Amino acid sequence: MSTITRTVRNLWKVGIRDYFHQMNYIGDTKAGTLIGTDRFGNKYFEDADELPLRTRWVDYKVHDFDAAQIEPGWHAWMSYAVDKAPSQDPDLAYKRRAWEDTDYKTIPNYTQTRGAYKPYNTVKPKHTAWEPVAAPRQ
Amino acid sequence: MQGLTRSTATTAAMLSRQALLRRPQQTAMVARIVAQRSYATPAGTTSSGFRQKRTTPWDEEKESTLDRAGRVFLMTEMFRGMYVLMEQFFRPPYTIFYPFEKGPISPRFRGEHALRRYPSGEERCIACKLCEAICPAQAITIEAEERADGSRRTTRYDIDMTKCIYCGFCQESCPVDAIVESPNAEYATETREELLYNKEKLLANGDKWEPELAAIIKADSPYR
Repeated sequence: MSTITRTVRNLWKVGIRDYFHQMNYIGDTKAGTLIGTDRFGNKYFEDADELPLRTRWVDYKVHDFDAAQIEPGWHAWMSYAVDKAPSQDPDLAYKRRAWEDTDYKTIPNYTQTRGAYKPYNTVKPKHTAWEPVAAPRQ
Repeated sequence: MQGLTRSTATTAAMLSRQALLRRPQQTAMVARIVAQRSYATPAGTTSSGFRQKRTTPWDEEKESTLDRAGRVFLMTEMFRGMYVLMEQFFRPPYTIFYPFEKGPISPRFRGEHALRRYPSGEERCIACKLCEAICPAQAITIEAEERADGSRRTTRYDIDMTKCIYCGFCQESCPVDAIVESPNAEYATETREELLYNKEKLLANGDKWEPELAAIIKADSPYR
């Protein structure tokens, strides 16, 4: 539970619409500056005046949010591993490499769906089944 | 009782050695050491409230019995405790609202494995099997074959993530920085089967996490 003054102060800063959006998703009101948007439309905010480790947060693009939807690079920024966001640091920003045909999509966690990863063998089987060849009757 | 049987000459020699060792430091040297101190060591005198005061034992208390009885029956300590709780109630919550906010991780964080590629797109792994040999949990299985162009590559690179203990020996042992532990920890699955990673899955992880992997290796390189 947040304090009334903090809630009202943040409501005043972000407006009614964002207030309801935040209460539906984060469950807390937060006001900060928009640092950037990743390739999938997730928005990243920062407010240095928040409590430690609550200063950076993400507003997910889709309703069915999951932490695996955060783009790599932004993941490092969200986890406080780097100071600069990918929008300011070209090392962290996504670049399509020359040998890639399409932009790489972040794989969300597809577990318990049809898209879930299933292990398979990457080598040829070492044993083959015996195929009986019956000699024709004389 | 060895001290009593020791001869006087031995004792004197020992005392002189100790005096040599315990010779007081030169004032200039002490000043230099204090000046060199930076973080994690206090510089100068401590503030007045730095050390806790000695608690007063029961037989030295000045409080009268009537005062103590009044404190007990009026429950003043209970109300002081409740006031501390009420103060917390009017502070913003410390809880990290995962997955919107996240806890901190180090660039050396060891999470899900990934196989990296060279910038040309060629896979790095040369099937030297050092990681397979060093893995204490024996979670890695590698099979190698000669590729069509004559280079030695893996045909099978399986990691059983349910056996892995995330010690990081595989990435330490890798001579070509092929197998790394990415900073990703969000790959919880519903079944054990989904945690038996094969080569394709590991390469896909590497392709996905490459910008971040390169950035954290660069961030950590001055300390290695």
